[in-house]
Amino acid sequence: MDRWVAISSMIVAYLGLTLWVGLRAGRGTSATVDGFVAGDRNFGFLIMYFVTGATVFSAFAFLGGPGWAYSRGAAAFYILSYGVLGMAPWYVIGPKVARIGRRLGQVTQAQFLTGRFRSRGLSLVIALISIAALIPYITLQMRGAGIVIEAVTDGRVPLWMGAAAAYGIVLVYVLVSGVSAVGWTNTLQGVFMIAIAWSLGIYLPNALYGGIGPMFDAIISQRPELLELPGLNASGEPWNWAGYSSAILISAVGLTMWPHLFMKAFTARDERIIRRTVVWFPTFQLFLVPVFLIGFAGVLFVDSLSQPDFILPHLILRLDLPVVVVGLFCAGALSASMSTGDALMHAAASVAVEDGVRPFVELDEVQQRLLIRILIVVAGAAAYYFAVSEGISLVVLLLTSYGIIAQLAPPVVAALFWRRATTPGIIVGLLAGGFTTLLFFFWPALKPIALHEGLFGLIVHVPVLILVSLLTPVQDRTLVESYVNPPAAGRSVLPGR
Amino acid sequence: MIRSLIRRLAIGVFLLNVLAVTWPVVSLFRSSEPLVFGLPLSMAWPIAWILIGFVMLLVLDHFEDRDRGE
Repeated sequence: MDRWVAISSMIVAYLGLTLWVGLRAGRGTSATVDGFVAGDRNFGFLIMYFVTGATVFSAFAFLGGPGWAYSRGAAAFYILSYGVLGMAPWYVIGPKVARIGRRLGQVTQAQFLTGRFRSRGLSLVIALISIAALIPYITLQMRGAGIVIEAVTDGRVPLWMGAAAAYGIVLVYVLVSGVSAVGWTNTLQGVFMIAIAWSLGIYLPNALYGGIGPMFDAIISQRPELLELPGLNASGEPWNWAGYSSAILISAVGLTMWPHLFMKAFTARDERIIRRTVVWFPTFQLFLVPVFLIGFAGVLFVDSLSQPDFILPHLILRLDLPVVVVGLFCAGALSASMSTGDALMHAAASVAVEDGVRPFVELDEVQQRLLIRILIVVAGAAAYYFAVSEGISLVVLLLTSYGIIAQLAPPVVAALFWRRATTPGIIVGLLAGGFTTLLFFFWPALKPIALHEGLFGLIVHVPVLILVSLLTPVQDRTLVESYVNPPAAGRSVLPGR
Repeated sequence: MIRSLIRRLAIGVFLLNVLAVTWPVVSLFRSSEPLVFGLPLSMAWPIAWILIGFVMLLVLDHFEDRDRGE
């Protein structure tokens, strides 16, 4: 049997397993919007742990991580630095959001915000921001899946076909089982990607250099500049501290504001589970260590690649590894891609319907679920179109969307903690912050210092939010208290299953 | 009261974390050498903060949970 046939069979087997798990997941979930979008608010700890971890770490981490380590060296360590910082505030915010959402029947971020800041315009703006940020993210995941499959089959399965196969399966299980499929498949995929990253991360340095320490000794003696912070920029020049530090800050602020993560607060069975998920998240974050080791292993073995994102598949193929290892690597990379992609597609469609359409058009439950399903297909198709058409710099788009997504943080914090915040304050702040971010993105020459444009957005956003709020009338007291001081829901109040 | 003490400690630790991994403090740990458990110092430093954050969250959660009486 040819190598590529054996590898392809392993991929097919893995995809089949994922599909089976995803389809089984929907059983027992109610046929309601609550069931499809928020899993009847019944996710337990183990599922939440893997949903959170596997959703955060995408194809970007599995393929892009080694690529960054390989081409930009220490610059990649910013990714190590922001995860726990970004997740820690969720220990306080997550349970509060969940409590309010359960009481008021919310399933999306915009519903949560407009629950306190009543405005259909705000709902629409948040829906548009979310979708504009989610689509390039989905595209990136699809390309990741396609790249891996194309590389390991020596191009016999081209990118467009590989991406279509992997995401056809995602589409089926998300359509059938909704967010429950995302939960169960992410558990499977999370286990896969962690196990495979650690095995490869330890195996490759040992096979190539005789150990992790000797590998770094070799790199230090030949490329001493590579491992010094803040590393290199995309063109191989030394990066600057402002860029490095502000990448950490903006990513930490934006992390839990991504709609596909934020919305998972509404899926947890109780608040205790959200807290435990945050507490254990750092253990998932350590997954980046072997990922970077894989990338560093390539430094002295692979000559400069035109596309550093290919480092991992390239290295794997160069080394004449056993077929099983290559097959497992594919499964790991596909896991990383699909576990984020499914959550993204599901979130994009749910947000479009719940926040973009429903405030304006009356829909019953059946119509809502139908429309969400239709839009999942549309979002998938749009992302697929971008994934197979060349020439769009997605990584740049993704990094920019982080700046925009981070602008959702001040409204969320204000909704939960600041009694004096008002609807006009939130809207004007959001627009000012978003506008500033885009301005400095399109005209970086205007930046006074080389900080991330999203950080400038926040610097403008927060004072505007405060000032406009203070100038406009105080909100109704009961409404404010239901957010700032939500009545505790004991376990007895939860719908029994 | 021990719970509010632990809460303040947690806030302090995570603020310290922000300072530790960004400029200027991180520039003290910019060098690749010495190797710490086989990893360059510049990589071991953020990893150390992941572990510190993890321990802090475990401690915080222990006390939050106990006081909630669950």
